[in-house]
This record gives sequence, C-alpha cells and structure tokens, in this order.
Amino acid sequence: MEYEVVVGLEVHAQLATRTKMFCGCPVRFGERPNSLVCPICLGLPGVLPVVNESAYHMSLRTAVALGCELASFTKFDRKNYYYPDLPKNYQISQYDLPFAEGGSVPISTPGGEKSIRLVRVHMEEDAGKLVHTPLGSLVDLNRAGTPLMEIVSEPDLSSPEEARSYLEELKRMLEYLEVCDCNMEEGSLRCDANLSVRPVGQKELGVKTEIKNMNSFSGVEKALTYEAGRQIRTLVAGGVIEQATLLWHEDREETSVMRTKEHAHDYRYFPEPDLSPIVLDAKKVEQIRGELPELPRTRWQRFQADYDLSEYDAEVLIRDRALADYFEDLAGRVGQGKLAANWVTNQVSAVLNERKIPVAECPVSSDRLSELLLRVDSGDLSKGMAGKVFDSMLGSDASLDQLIEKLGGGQISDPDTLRPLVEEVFGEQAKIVEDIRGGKDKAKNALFGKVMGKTRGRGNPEVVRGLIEELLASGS
Amino acid sequence: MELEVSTVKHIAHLSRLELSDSELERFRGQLMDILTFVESLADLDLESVQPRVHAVEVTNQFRADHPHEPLGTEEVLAGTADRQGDTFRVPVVVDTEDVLED
Amino acid sequence: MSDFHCWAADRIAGAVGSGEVTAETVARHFLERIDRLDDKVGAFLQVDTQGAIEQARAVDRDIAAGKPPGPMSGVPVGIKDNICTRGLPTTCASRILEGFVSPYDAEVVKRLRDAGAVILGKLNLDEFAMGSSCENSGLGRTVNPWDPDRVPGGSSGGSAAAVAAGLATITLGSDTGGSIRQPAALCGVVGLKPTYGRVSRFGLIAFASSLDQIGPFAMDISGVALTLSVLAGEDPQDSTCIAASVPDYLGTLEGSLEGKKIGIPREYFEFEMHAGISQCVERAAQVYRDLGVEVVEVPMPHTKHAIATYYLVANAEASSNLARYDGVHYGHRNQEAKELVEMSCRSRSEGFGDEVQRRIMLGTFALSSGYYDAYYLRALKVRQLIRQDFDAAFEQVDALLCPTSPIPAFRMGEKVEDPMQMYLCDIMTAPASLAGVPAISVPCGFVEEEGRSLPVGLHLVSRPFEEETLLGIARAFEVRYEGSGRMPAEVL
Repeated sequence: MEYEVVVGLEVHAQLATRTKMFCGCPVRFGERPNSLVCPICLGLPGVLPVVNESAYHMSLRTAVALGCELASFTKFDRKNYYYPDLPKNYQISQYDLPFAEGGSVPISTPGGEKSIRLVRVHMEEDAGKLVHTPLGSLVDLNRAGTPLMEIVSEPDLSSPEEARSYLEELKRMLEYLEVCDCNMEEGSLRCDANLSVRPVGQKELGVKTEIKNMNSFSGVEKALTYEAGRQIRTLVAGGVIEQATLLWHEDREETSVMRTKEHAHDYRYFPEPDLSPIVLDAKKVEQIRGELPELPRTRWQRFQADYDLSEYDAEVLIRDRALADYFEDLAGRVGQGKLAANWVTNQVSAVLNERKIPVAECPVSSDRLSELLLRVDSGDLSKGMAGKVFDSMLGSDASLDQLIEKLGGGQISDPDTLRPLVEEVFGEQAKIVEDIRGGKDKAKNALFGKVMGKTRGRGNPEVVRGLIEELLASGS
Repeated sequence: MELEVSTVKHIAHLSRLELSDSELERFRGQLMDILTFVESLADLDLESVQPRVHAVEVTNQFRADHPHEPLGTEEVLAGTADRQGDTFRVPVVVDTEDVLED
Repeated sequence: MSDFHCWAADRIAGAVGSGEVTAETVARHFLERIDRLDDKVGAFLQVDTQGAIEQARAVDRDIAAGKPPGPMSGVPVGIKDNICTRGLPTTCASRILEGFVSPYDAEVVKRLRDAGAVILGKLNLDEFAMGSSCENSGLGRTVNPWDPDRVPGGSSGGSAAAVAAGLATITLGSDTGGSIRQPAALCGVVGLKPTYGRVSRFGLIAFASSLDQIGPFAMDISGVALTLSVLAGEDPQDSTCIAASVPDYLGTLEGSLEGKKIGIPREYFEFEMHAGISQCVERAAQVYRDLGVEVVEVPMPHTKHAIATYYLVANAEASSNLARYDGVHYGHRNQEAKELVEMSCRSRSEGFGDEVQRRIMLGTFALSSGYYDAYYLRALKVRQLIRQDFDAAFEQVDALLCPTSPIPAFRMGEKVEDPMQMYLCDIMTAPASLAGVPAISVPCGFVEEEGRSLPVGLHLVSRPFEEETLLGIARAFEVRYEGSGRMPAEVL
C-alpha cells in the first residue's frame, strides 16, 4: 500500500519591534539575563499591559500580504497555565477572535505552484527562557513579553520538502515585509508541526503527532522525513499510531516522546479584562496595502520575465530582499540582466558568504560594480581581467581606471592597434603561416597564442582571430 | 449543584492549591452552596444577549513602540527566594501534566 | 492641642498652602493620633512615620520657596495596602506578599504625591480585597471605631476605620463589588467609587480587573470631591482608563438640584433589611422631596441576579489575576518542596487564606472546560442585562437612591463561617460595580444595636462619568443632615 503524508505547520514569528508586546522593555537577544525586564513583564502585582502599536501594525501588514481576512473586531484573551517562564501564569494571546483568518502562502513544487491555505494568524506574547539543570530550573525573563505572531496553516502540505518550501517562502515574505528577523537559531522564527499519514486515496486523516523543537529548516525537513517514515513503518507492520507530542533531537536525528496521549489542557481562556478590544481601521489597512513591498514570489516571476533569468538564478537573487534590490539596481545601470545576475550570484554572493556580511555592507556598491560591467559589456575588459579588477575593488576605493591601469590595462579591441602586432607575428612565424596555408588549420591556434602573448593577454580574442583570418586571406 | 471530590481535586490542582482531605471536603460543601446559589441565573433567557466583558466601551488603546528603562537585573531578582547568578532558580520542573492531573 | 483631624481636606490644604500651618505640624498631629489610637482601631498595617515627616517637610519647603501649592498640600492620607507604594511594603494583607516592597508607585500614589499630599502609611483590608468585614486580613485586625466588637466592613475596612477614627483626613480604598461603599457606610464616613475608567488602576493589585476601581474616603463630600479631582483622568499605562475631561469636582459641589430626578429602585427594598436602615433611607428620600426633587420608583428587574453574577465574574478574573503568586519570582515560597508544582501548590496554600483559596477555586471552576458557558459566559450576559437596567433607569432619573448595606456593622466572627452570608453584604453595591457606574455612600443616620449607635449609609448612584452630578446630589443631603461630621466618642 502506498501512503501519503499530511503536514500542517504552526509558525511563531517574533515581530521586529523595538519593544515588547505590552511594555516598553527593549527586545534584544543575548543580553545579561533578566536585564531587559520591568515590573510589567515581570508580572509584579498591580501592573497593566498596553498594546504595542507597531506590533499590531506589523501583524496587520503580514495578514494583508498573506491575503487573510481581517477581523473587524478583535480582542485579546488570557491563556491560563502555570510555568515558571510565564511570570503572570497566563499568556496574553488571542483565542476565538483572532485578528486575521484565512489567507495562503504559494509554494513551488515539482508539480507546479501550490497554494497552502492558512487557518489563522494571531498575536500573543512570548514566554521567558527556562534552562534545566540538575540543581533546578533557571529562569531568564528577557524574552518574556516579546511580541509574537502565530501563523497556523491548514494540513495542506504533502511532504517534508513542501513543508520546507512553505517555511522558506514564509520566511522570505516576513523578511520582505520587515516584520521579523527570521533567525531560527536565535528563536525569532519557530515552528511546530502536525504530521499524519494515510493510504493514498483515503479521505480521512490518520492519527497525527505533534513535533516540536526543530531549530532549522533542514531540521524540519529531517524531522518530518523521520517521523513520516516511522509512522508508515508502524502501519505497514500492522501497528497503530498513537497521538503524541514528540521532541526532535537535531544531534541524534531522531524524535523522543514528550507526552503520550493528547493531554486535555484546560487553558481556561477568557477575554483579557485589562485590554480594550481593537476595531479595524479601514483607512489604516488601505495605507498598509498601499505601502506593501513587492512580495518575493511576484519578484521571482518578474525577474524571470524581465531579465530572462532561469528559475534558479531568479530564486537565488530573491532569497534576500536586499540582494534582489542590489541586483535590480545593477541590472538597471548596466542594461544587461543576465550579465548582472551572473555577477551578483557569483562574485558578489561569494564575497558576502565568505565575509558573512549583509548586502548593505558589500564593499563594492551596485553603482561601482555597474561601471565595471559596462566595460565588460563594451568589450573593453576581458572577463578574466574584470574578475581581477573586482577583487582589487574590494580592498580599494581607487577609481576604476586607476585599478585597470594598475593591473595592466583593459582589453584591446581596436583593430588598428592590433593589426601591426598580428603583422609582426606573421613576419616572425613564416613557417606556421605557410603550414596554415598548406591546410594545417589547427596551427591557427599557435598563431593566435603568439599574438595574444604580444598583447599580454589584453587583445580582444574575437578581434585578433578576425585579423588573423583577414591577413591569411590577403595572402601577404 | 453536586460536586464530586474528584472535581474539587481537579479544580484545586488547576488552581495550584494543596488541600488536605478535610479542606477538600469543606471547600466542596461551600462551593456547592455557592454554585447552588448562582444557579438562579439559569432561569434567565439569555439567547439574544451579548456578553459584557468591560464596564466601559473603549477601543484601540495603543502605546508607541518606544523603549523605557528596564528595572535592572538586581532589582528584578530582589524579591525571589532563590537565584543562581542572574537567573531565578526553581525546583526541577517535572513536565508531567498527565500524572499530576491524576 | 489642635483639632486637625476634624478639618476637611480643603481646609488643611488651604492653611498649609497659605503658610498658616505647616504640613509637618499637621503630619505630626496625625502620627501622634495613630500612635495613641491605632492600637485600638488597627487600621494601619504600616505607618511610615519618617517618610511622612520628610514628605511634609518637602511640601513646606516648596511652599516657603514660593512654589504654587498643590491642591492637597499637607493633607494626610492613608493608602489601602493593595495599592503599590514605592519603598513601602505592599502586602494586600496576605502572607503570600508579606515583606514585598514594590519598586514603583501606583499612578494614584504618584498623583497624590504631586498634589502635595502626605502619605502616612498603609491600611488594612480583607486579603486581596476579598471580603466584607476585614476579618479576612492575614496580617491585622481592624475594628469598627463605633463599636470595637464589630467589624469595620470591607474590604477597605482599614481605610474606612482610619477616617472614622480621625487617623487620616483622606484614605484611598478600592471597590470591586462594594469594598469602598460598604465599609464607609458601616464606619459612618463618605466613600466614593468612581466610574470604572475614571481613575487609573495602574498599581492597584488586581482582584477583578473589569470591576476594580480606586476611590477616596473622607469625613465629608468635599474631601472625596477634592481627592477625585486629583486622582481622575487618563493614564496611558491603563488601557481601560478613559480620556474624559476632569471637572473641578470641589468647585461644582454646591449646584442647584433644580430639575433633578431621583429614582428609588423598588427591587433593592425587597431584600431582607434592618428596619432602622430603611427608615433612615426613607428620611433621606424625604429630604430630597423637600428640596423639590422629584423622587420616583424605577424598575431594576435584574437586581436579584447581581450577587450571583458578581461572584462568578469577579472570581473568574481573580483566579487568573492571583495565578502569579506562585513563589517563583517574588513573595512567599515553600522551601521544602523538591519539585516545582509541589513548590507552587504549597507556597500558595500557605500564603493564601481560606477565603482567597475558596474564590480562586470558584473562579477556576467557572472558567474550566465544560463549565465556562454555564457559569462564566452566562454571568457576562447577565452583566449586560444589569447594565441595561441602569441605562434604562438613567433615561428617567439622574440618580438612584437606596441603602448602602442592608445591615449595620455586624459582630466580629458573626459571618466568617458562612461565606454565602458574607457575600450577601454586597447586594446593594454589586449591581453598580457590574454596570461600572459611579456610586457613593454618605452617612444618613444611626441605628441602635445593643446600646451602641451604629452608622447607616445612603447609597447614591449616577450615570457613567457624571460624578459631578452624583457629588452635588450627595452634598445637598449632607448639608441638611444633622449627623454630618459626627465622630465616635471614643476617638475624639
């Protein structure tokens, strides 16, 4: 029997606000424990939350971009449960009236584009960090109260690869929207998955397990592949799948059971009496819609059409919004999309990767690079020389001409400059010329090599070959 | 309104209260009295009534995304009974809700 | 020896502001009285002698330096101990917060300080403001200054007793279902619960967030009017505190009642009630009729459901609000427990008194899976109906009139064993709390019990954010009531 995999993802994205969801404490990673904490996020007696307007607007921007239906009236609720990283022992979240429902994320699959539907998007606050040691558990509340957006997908994903594509697409969207840093290692983007399998053709969903603790995209793909395999093997062997919450262990590349039966948590949700509800401001939504950036997928399609790029090249370029901007600027200046794409995906990307720097810190601006590429395009500079010039640009602010001069000049394409050199070689290498005339066509390469030697490699190969043919034909 | 002892135990656990058997029994009686009293609400026809959460009708209260000065680690930890370095320390967390729920 | 404890707040502020007396002299007068009398009354949990003198001196210095005096310059105030004060313990009269010192001032405390008030200390209450007698305090015992064998009412029992005994000119209390008005009535002082949203709750330790409201106690209406002018107004730290303009409540007190109408909600008088109390209230109604005010009966059909509704809504919120006291970040922690859940359960059971535990259990139950719709949600709907009762009544009348409490101060221990009996103390006051409307208790007479004169409170209620009207109507009665300003003989 053949089985198919059914996956739904719950993504928690930390909103890129300056301050926390309900208080003015700065949001920063890696600071001294409990140094970004105030009476409000410490849950001291008597404090009250107030909603961070930027967090709400970023959430709205995301929902508009995802095509969600925005609730005309939304409110916050308390989710009650005890945990030492949750200072109030309730989390302010949204329960029955999330601010956004529906919407979708388009992904590419081997079978073409597929739309992954969303259930809902809601806002909530993050908990602190808990580290377990043999002598007790240690609580750091720096993260407590950080604004989160929870994005819940329908179980529309049919493979671990699709799950990964979905996450990559969502991550790019959030980055383009500038609402999340999407750093999985620092936990600013987190993902839990629900996975079940069923025989192909069966309508009803199988028993699902929830997988937690996946800390990278590849981890998600591996964990889901592992779990799908486990479930299928269990069924094939005649076993049954038990509903459970599983923890993924990246190091061992396997899961362990965290909770067996689906525990009936009783969160006792009720409307947060300390916060007033939010009524949707249609004008604000229109403003947000008007200010939406071009989304990565649209850009990907446009790059292929406008610049005649391959899917792959376009994909590499749009992965990072700043890189795509760099490319577009460059392509516009040079007027040659493919040439610009080649340079950005090769030389520029190599520098960024090697130095682990963002595009904004690239030592060669798109403006400067465009000057270089214009010379390549006009034939004034050979590819090899251009590469050398680019390398020297990384460490020098000198002008392009100065750099070219320093490296021995640009390409010689002028036939009038090259002709005397070709004639010189014809004079020196009479034997070869004779051989060629006698039918040894291959000997042309030797002649070409000699000419190029005289130009110290700077001769335009096409022009040199043309001149050689010309002189051979003239019979001089 | 009749309350099972097991229900009262469950509620005590959700409330994070440790009650002796005699306390459980006493609370069970008192809660039953109160719940019997509040059952008078069941007589009302509330089909078309909207619940009222807030006493005032105010909406869209926001705060600008401006940072304020945090308390400082020492003051944050000033009230705790046990700390380790810059963190709060609590006895080990045994994450077994199922067991605890009986 | 002066009689500053018989002075109204504005008189003290005026005299201090003009340099006629110093704030320090006034503060010392009250500190001396507290020192001498509070052993008997038990109103204070904490007296900040040194802090009060320092504040008073600072006020005197500012005035001597020619700075414009604040509206409450030198007025000695006491703060209910569920309102956070920086540097002073704030305990909620609970062992779970014993020794807790807040690193910040509640917004109302900040406003009082800015207005020149001198904070004398922190006042006793029923633990976490849950109770009607102050007997649920885990840290102190407060008696009624009119009869030390009787309760001062609650939960703001310390705040009411302190004013009644002349231990502070103004005190702050908090009212969730009647916690300002009922003790004011039982102690024979004025107590105002402002409209929900009129005064910032930032720094008020939450019992039931959608009901809690801070308000003042004073010997007379001018005192609560002056204090409300200082406390009221928008606070960006409290999303439920409204940006509505704040009138000069003191300056508008003596307005005419012409054209005003007062409603008597008949349903309130269907409850069992002390005969002397209904007579006092009837006499008060007659005072208004004599003033030419039209007094009419108005229907408030859902009144009888208010207590049930109130206890479900308030305790559901309380069960969540009090979840933070688990011994992890601050407050009492059981040191024996080896495991976290055990630690939290023990800390809470040791730290919370019986009534608090009972209410947490009730609230948890009302919110729990399978019971939410039948209890909590149902209560929210009845709350809506109760509010509609008020809205309808206020289309006809400007204020409602009834007793604040159906009974006078009761004997210590009389109701502690029967929570339901204690809950019924709120039947007159809880409806206005659920509706969020402003209400005041004003002394309107005495009843004789076992040879003692016990005060009776008149309860007046008005439209949301119309405290001006409420205070004006109350003031008209006050000036015509011969018992106004009377203090218990023992403490004079």
